[in-house]
Amino acid sequence: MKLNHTFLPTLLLLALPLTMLAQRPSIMVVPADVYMNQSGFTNAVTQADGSTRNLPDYQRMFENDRYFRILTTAINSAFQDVGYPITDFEATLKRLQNREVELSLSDRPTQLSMRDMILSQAKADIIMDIDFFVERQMGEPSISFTLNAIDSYTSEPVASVTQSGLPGGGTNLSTLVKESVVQNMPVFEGRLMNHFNNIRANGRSGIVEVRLSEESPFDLEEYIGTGSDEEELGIIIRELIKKNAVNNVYRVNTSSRTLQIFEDVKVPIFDEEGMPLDVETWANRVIVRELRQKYRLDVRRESLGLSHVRLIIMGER
Amino acid sequence: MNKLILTATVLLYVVITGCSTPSTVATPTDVRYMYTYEVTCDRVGAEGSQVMIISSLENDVNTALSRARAYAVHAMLFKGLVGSVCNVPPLVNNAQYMANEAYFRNFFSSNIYSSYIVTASDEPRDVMRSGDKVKVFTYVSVNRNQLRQKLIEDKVIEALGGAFTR
Repeated sequence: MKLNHTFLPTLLLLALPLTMLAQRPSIMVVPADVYMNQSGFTNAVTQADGSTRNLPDYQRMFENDRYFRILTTAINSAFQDVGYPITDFEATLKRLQNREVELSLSDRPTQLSMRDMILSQAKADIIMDIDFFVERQMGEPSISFTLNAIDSYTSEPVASVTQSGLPGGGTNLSTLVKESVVQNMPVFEGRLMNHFNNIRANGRSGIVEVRLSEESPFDLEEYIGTGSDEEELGIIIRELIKKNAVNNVYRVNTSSRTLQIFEDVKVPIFDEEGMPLDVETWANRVIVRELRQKYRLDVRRESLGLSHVRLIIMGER
Repeated sequence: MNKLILTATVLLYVVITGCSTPSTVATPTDVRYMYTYEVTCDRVGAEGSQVMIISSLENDVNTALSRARAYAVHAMLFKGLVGSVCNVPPLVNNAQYMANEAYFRNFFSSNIYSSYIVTASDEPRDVMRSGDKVKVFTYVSVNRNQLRQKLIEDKVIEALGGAFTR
């Protein structure tokens, strides 16, 4: 049978999924600093100014604390059950360590800047900060914990649950931990769902950072454009953000001649054609393209995560 | 005499229609309110099953034990469980119910609900006589995760990450 030339492409088109999936925020369970401090899993580090600071030693915690592993496994499994797999903190740390070892042993050494090292650290869009303790009440183990989900970009609390003193009643601790997580998941999940629905309705909160390259011959107060389009560069950028943010919502954190930081910029998760949109793509379409094409500026961008983008003005094209 | 009969009929009509349930209040066909029972959360299983105590007033113990299964799933769907042990919101909100009323009627009339029962007691935990009826207390366990998954697959409720799908 001879296939019609249009048959195969049509078949392929029909096989495409009809649903579009926007990038879902990544979630990672991380032990709270207070837990790391109280459990002694910290290292004192001397800073540049001579002061000392306690930094969490996650590696030592994973090697010595079996409760945290039980707890995170239970949380990961609960999220798996509701079809929203989360990023495993321990696995991510191990992967990063392995990558560093592998790079150091490579026959062809590559460049690795300090910035690359920081950017490649374990990170997620939503951090689930967990603090817990296990105690014995009348000989029975009992677990209490607080789980706080925090938006990494806005530091806003997304959802939280507190479980205080769930008694064992003869149950072993591992099962007790799992049960306490399962017990609290529905409420936690409901709050997370509200947060996600809010993102769908009002846009994803993003951060847009505007900086000037050292070579740039002008600053953000420079007037650019001609005729009625002539305006300060900083104001042009602010107007572009305002015009394109969902419900024109955004907040200026910093504004100077050399730096602008816009926070809580509400970015739609889908564009007009129904295609998924992240903050970097949005910023490219509504700011970078306009500055390049209309004002003939050379603008570079750097993504610092799902919801954080940095734009660097290099100068004129 | 005819006038009196006519007046009485009109009055009767006014009284009946005046006392009838307003349309905004749930009718007996509303699946959310078609059962009368009480539910108490007993414990949560590590695999996501919810163990609850169902109490209901029925004509006999066997009927009560049999209906408790439907009541338990009904509670998971529309009531939720609140207490010192559990804090589980209902799986279905009002808007989702209104959009899928026929689905839920069929869910109970075709016994689809029974697939989500993990265990149900054959013996009552407690029985109390109340006139010619019996109030029966019994344990029923429902797999909330599977029930939830079924509702997601049937597009009745949204998955956790559903907000990011178009």
